[in-house]
Amino acid sequence: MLARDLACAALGWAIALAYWVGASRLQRSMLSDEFGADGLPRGLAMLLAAVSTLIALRALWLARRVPPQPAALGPGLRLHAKALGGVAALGCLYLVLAPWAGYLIACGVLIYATALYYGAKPTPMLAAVSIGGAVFFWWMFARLLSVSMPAGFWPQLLG
Amino acid sequence: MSEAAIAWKVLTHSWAIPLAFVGVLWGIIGGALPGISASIAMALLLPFTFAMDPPTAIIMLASVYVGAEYGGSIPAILIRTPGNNSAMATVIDGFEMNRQGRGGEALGISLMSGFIGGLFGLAVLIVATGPLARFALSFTPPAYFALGVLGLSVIAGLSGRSLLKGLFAGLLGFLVATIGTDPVSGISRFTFDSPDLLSGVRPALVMLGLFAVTELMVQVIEPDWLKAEAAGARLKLPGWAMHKRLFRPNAIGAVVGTVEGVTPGAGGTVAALISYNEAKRWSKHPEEFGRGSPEGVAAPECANNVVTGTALVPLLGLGIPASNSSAILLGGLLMHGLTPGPMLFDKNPEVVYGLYGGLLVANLAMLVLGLAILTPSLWLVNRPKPYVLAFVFALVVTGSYAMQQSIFDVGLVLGFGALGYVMRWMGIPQLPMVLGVVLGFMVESNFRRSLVISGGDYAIFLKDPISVTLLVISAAIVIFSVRRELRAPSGGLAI
Repeated sequence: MLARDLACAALGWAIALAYWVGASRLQRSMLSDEFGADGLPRGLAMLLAAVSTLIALRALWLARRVPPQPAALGPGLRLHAKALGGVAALGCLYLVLAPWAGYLIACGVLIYATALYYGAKPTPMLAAVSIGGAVFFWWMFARLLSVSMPAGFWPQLLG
Repeated sequence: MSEAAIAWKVLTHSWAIPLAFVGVLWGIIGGALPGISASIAMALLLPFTFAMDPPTAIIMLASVYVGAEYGGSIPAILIRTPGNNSAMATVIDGFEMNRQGRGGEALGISLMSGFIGGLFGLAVLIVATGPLARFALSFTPPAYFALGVLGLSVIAGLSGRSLLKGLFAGLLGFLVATIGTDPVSGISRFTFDSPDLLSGVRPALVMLGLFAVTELMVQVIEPDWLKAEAAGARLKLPGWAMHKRLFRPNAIGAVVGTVEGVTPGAGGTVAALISYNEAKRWSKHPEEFGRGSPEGVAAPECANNVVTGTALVPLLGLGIPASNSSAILLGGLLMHGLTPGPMLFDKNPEVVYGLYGGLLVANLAMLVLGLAILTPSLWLVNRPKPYVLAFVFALVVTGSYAMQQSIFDVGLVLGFGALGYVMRWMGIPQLPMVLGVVLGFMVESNFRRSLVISGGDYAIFLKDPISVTLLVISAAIVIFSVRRELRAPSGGLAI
């Protein structure tokens, strides 16, 4: 838990510093009030840094007070990387594909790839479900709810 | 002619009843889809109501609102994806119950508490529109600031095992809320010259990322999403004993939903979160909250459905829309040449009393349609896990895109998903962060407006009676929550 708490504190300090620097670079406006556009972000950054410090101090204090426990059996770094990286990669695939190939294809590929990632077998059934799912979502959002979904290259191709 | 007779005539001499059912069904579908809020579902239907007679059109729009507020809880319970902001609190215990194979029970509780809440909200609307509308009018910027602080005060109760980490998450959310256009001077903050960030980060995007995308990641390392037992895969309505147990959280939800509903700008999200916190405080089993407590589902669901009635109080009483959804309803009224406000009761009683009758029908429709669709919904989420997760992912990216037709928003959701995963690893609770995002703008803008009004005098927050009252209640909530957590039997709160 010590490592996680210290990581949490480090994350807090990094975010607080980023916001503090960002706030100090904000332009001044003639319309600005006494508090200013930078007032709240600066205040919050200070608070976040203070809370992060307390989290770190508490972690160090607990580590001295409580005898070291045998490491709990949790997922290893590789599994964490697989979880985070895998879903992020699938999302990025959609982000790249949707504007270029259009919503229908991107959604179908996303369903197919995600199901494979979670252990489905690459069967014709999966392909059919992916196509059916993409058409269903397209019908629901684009047709029924009139949301303009990414069209991709299709309008140019079909004239 | 009496008010009831007018309502009866409106309902029976038009297509109002079938159209209320259609409206509720449309609302449930819209509410259950992330990215389609109640107001969007209503706005999409607005052109179709143009040719209808005014009472029927207003009934149909109000029915969409009722359906949408309820519909958000279905994906919140089944796939940890709140369909709308106000279903945020339902995720905590609803999804936990579903993980334990009690999804049918959670859905039954959410349906019944929503129904009770909807009827209570309607009763308040009928009985107390006049005095409550005047109460809503007395809210000033300091009072709105204090209302936001009241909402934030529940962070202490939502922090799980570490108050410091809850505070950490709340501050993160608050910082995210500062992204966008400054509410006073209008300059851009932390937008990196991106037009996509000018209007800030929508709370719904943060929620989709922190809840749904994070859960998709967690499913890779915690493959414990088991198929529910046959009994858990069926809708289970609460029995008499459960109704008795849920009386208190439902009552809390009803009171909080009434106060928050009539206050313009507060809405169902804040009502649901405060109700959850209060239900936990007053529960005989507070230790069950966060671990699949039926009371943790009932209180927020009752509260956000009460709001469907009470949010119409300022609209009908004063002509002031209290939320986006009531603004669409206002649009519907104006489209038919009706001016909401006190004169509406005299000039167009058929619209007002027809709406009362229509809301009653809409709540009954919610119950009937809920009973019809919940068992198939349970069946759907009990399909093989890879298929369910693939569809959840597709729904999340589609819903996040649909909000503003922006691919950038999809990227933001993925980013918040990754952040949520890291937060989970670090033991940081996610809900306080969402609360910070939801309330950050309201708190900051009203704090600074108050100071502009007072010329920088902070005493303005103590001069306004509503502000003082709310600030005192906030302080009391924080003190009680911290004391309760410190005294918790399970080792107490890790401050």
